[in-house]
Amino acid sequence: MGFLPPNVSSFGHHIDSLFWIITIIVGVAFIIAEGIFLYFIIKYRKKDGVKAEYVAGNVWSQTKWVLIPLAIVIALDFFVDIKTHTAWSEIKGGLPQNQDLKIRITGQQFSWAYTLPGADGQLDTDDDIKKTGELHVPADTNIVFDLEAKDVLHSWFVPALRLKQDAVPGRTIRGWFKVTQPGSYEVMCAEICGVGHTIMKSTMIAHSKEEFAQWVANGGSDTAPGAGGADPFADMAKNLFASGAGDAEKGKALVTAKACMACHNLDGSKTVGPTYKGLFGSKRTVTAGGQDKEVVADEAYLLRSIYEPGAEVVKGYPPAMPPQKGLVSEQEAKDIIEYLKTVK
Amino acid sequence: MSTNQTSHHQMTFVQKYIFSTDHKVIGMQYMITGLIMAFLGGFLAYGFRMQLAFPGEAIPLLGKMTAGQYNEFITMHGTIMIFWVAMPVLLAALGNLLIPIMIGADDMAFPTLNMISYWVFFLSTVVLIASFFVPGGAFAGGWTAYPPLSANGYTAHGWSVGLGGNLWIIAVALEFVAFLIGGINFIVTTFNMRAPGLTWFRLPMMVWMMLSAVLIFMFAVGPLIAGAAMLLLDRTVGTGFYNPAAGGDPILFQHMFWFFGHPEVYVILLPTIGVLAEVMTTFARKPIFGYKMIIYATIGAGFLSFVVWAHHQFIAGIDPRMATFFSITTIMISIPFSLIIFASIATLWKSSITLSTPMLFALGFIGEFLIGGVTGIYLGSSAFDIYVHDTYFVIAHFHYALIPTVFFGGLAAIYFWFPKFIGRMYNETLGKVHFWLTTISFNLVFFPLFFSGMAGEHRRIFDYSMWKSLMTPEIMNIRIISTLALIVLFLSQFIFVFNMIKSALSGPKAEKNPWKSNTLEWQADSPPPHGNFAQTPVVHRGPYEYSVPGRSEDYWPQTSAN
Amino acid sequence: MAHTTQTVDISEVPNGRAAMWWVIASEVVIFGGLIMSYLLFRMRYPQWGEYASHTSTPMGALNTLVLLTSSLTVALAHKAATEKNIAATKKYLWFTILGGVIFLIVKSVEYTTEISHGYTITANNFWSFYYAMTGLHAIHVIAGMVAMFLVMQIDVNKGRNLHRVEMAGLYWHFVDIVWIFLFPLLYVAK
Repeated sequence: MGFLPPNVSSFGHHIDSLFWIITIIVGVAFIIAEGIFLYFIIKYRKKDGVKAEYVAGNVWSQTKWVLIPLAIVIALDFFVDIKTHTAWSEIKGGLPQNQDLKIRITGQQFSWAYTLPGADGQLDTDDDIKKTGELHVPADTNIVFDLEAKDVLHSWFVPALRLKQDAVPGRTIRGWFKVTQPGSYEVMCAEICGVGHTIMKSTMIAHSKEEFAQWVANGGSDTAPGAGGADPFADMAKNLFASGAGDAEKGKALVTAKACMACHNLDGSKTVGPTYKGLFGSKRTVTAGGQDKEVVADEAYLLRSIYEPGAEVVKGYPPAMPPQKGLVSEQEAKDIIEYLKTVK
Repeated sequence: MSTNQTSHHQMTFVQKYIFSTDHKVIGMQYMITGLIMAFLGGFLAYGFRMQLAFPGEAIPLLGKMTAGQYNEFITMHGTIMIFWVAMPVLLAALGNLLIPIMIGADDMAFPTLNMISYWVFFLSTVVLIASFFVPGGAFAGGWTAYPPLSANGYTAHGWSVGLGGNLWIIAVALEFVAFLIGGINFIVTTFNMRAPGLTWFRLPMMVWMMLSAVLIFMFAVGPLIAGAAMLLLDRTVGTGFYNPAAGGDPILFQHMFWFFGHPEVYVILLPTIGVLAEVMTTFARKPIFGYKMIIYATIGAGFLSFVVWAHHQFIAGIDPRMATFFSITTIMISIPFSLIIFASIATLWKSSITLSTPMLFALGFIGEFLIGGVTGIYLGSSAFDIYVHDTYFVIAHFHYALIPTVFFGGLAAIYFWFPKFIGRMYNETLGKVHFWLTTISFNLVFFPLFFSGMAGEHRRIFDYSMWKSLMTPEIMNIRIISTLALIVLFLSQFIFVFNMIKSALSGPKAEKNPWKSNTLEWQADSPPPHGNFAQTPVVHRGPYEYSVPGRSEDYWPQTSAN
Repeated sequence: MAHTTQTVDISEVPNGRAAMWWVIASEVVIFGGLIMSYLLFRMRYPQWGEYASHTSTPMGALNTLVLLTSSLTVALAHKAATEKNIAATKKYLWFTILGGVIFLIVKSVEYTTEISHGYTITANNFWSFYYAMTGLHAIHVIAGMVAMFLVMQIDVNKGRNLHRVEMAGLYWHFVDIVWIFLFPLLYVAK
């Protein structure tokens, strides 16, 4: 009804109805209290020759005007407690009997990594599907997740699911959800996790059961393996740089403003992500689709690293960077690359 | 301030105003430091609100903001507003100014200790401000300082690593020490130095509330001091108290923080309840409704406040069964505070109200705090909290609890006792303009944020551009309205500053008892000399004997024999 | 105490003693926070019993004895002070300070042995707690000794404010009691 975003989880209706129960209870109480309060202020303004009445409020005939409303407050409190308990027990109190899919969610600075079982339905086997930034799940399925954190606290928050759970390093927190509608939903990090907290975004894509089965059969891809054509980033690079060089000054400002420097640096040291120092034109070993290969860091490579950072990950680094599609425009990417050429 | 009437020897300027042992001067020092810090905290809010309303634009006076600066700003805003504004203004300043004079004493029990308390606090302020200027900048891990982030994620340690954060811990610890030292005086003075006849149930509510607040503070703060020391060791020496890789537990810090953090809310709230009682009875010309009832409710709330802390951690990974317990205790805390608010409203029944500036702020507190109170029910419900935890709903809620408490309560107190401690009257018209501008802009800043929170807007985000669901025109408008209103709110406070300075210099002289009030401070000169009273006052009755039937006057000072 | 010209101690407890109880109460919750945290870890990790076996129980026991004795001497100092016997007060205060010195020497020997065996503050969380708690306690021992020394120099020597001996004694008993908790927790329970 406008205030809360559409709910797509099986248990979200509990939360939404709690919202309305509490709103009605406290709304009515609030209006009565404020109403009496304002009425008194208007009615009992100082008038000449009229003294206030001496009411100390220390006998029952007077205190009952406060204590009876208080008793009503207590009764309503317990009503809210009971409703809360029902909802809480279903969402967090335990796991459903039928656990159709088990997944692992890992929070890390600054992305969510997801591990799904492959065709064998088991986690921690060779055919696990690992994705950073995108969670694919089937709709109408009880999904049990193990939530972990690599470095600091994070909080896995999907508003459309009405679900939030902190991820704590050193602990595995188990929870569950069931998506009722296929679609694409935003996933946030709700606990401050450092300078890149803002960009810690991922997307939950809920497929129909059949679509999801197909997706798993394809090894975690929307299209069957081997269907890819020419490198789209080589074309993009050609088109972008056909009109001349970018603006390195703007690029320098952009890497700061977009919080790239949270993970990358200019001094050659090893932090969350690889350094920018001497990056352009260097040879590097990357892991792509489970295979190591050598590539040269040219414009096309950098564009891919910005828009599909999970495709080729520099060896020795985690696949932690969230894809920047929609965050960095092509013109901005061009300026950034121009700037990176200057970092020697 | 004149000290001629006292027998004290002539003091130099430094003895009188800088290293003074007079409780009134120390109170003013706390007050002025706190108010200056309030402007700093407000300015930080201006910075990050501008970034949210106009992401990526250069901010007037600050320039373009980075994500790192944003985190520093929000962290320091929270830290300053709680520890360097709310605590010094409401607890230290009002307590020091009022406790001795309200109980008829000449000063605190240990004046030198009192002075030391302020200067330790001052030192903590210096350390905190210095932390803005060290390499790496101020602390940026959120004011709650949850490890492992606040321990540099356990990637590096040493004194110089994240110096801003180390200084932040030291500043907060020093500040706690300052208030613990100050607390000695609050307790001992109230216990031992009350004027003859001033029994416990003749004490003004203000004194009761200060006493409860400082006791709650002392019992709550210990574990956090230990916790902060452990965090500092983790950051500097490399211990692993909160490091899961070394067998530590990051959640432990959350428990220690909120074991203090929740009672802390009442440490701030209780002095304001005290202000409310003094101001309302005076301007409604009526006894407080249910004096003893309110005191018992306060004591009850004090105990209850120690068993609600985990409601800040419903989704932190604690045992789900614990959540039910804490949800029930949290919702139960509405009982004592409903009682206090109901009793305040009942006080207005058949009263005779004058809407002076302090009364407006006191009534404003009730009206606005109700919003903070009822929205607390949403958050106390553990299940609904799953959704709104760490969203702007929480931000709106606690600002509706804290701004009425700290600003409305604090301002009511400042206007109310200004004639007493400065000796001149403030300008009533400017005061009313200040009240209305503050109230309207405050509501425009925070009420819309409930709706962005319900839409799922999560906290501590520097730029929402990448979140499609949070970039709708409605939510963007909320950000802009809230930010513009904040600027109005901030600028309105300069009316207050102007009024205070102008009135202190050239306002009309205040008489002893301009509000025709009952409590002891109004029997001393305005401003009271060093030593407060010419003779020890003798107390004959309770503090709120207004409009007693059969008397021609509608007030009855505690000191008058008949 | 300077400004009590017109008001009197109207509760049963004099100002100084009330203030000292406040200090002790606020310290109790600080140590309480540490001890509670330690206990939570101790219950979670049974192997901490093994770590604890590397602390020296005889030395800890010796220090317990030293502190208990010094508590007795400070009580005697208080008794002498109430009898306005300045010489005896000084004698017993010096004995108490001596007890503090012996305690710190034994503690240093312990620390040295432990560090030389590799049990430093960062060895593991047991040792972090061990050093944090005993270190904080040692700071309190030093503070108590300084307080007694100052009371002696400023007041007792001049025969005034003898009630301050009681305050120093109260504080010293508190420091002693903290040790009574630390000793079994860190040394005895294996």
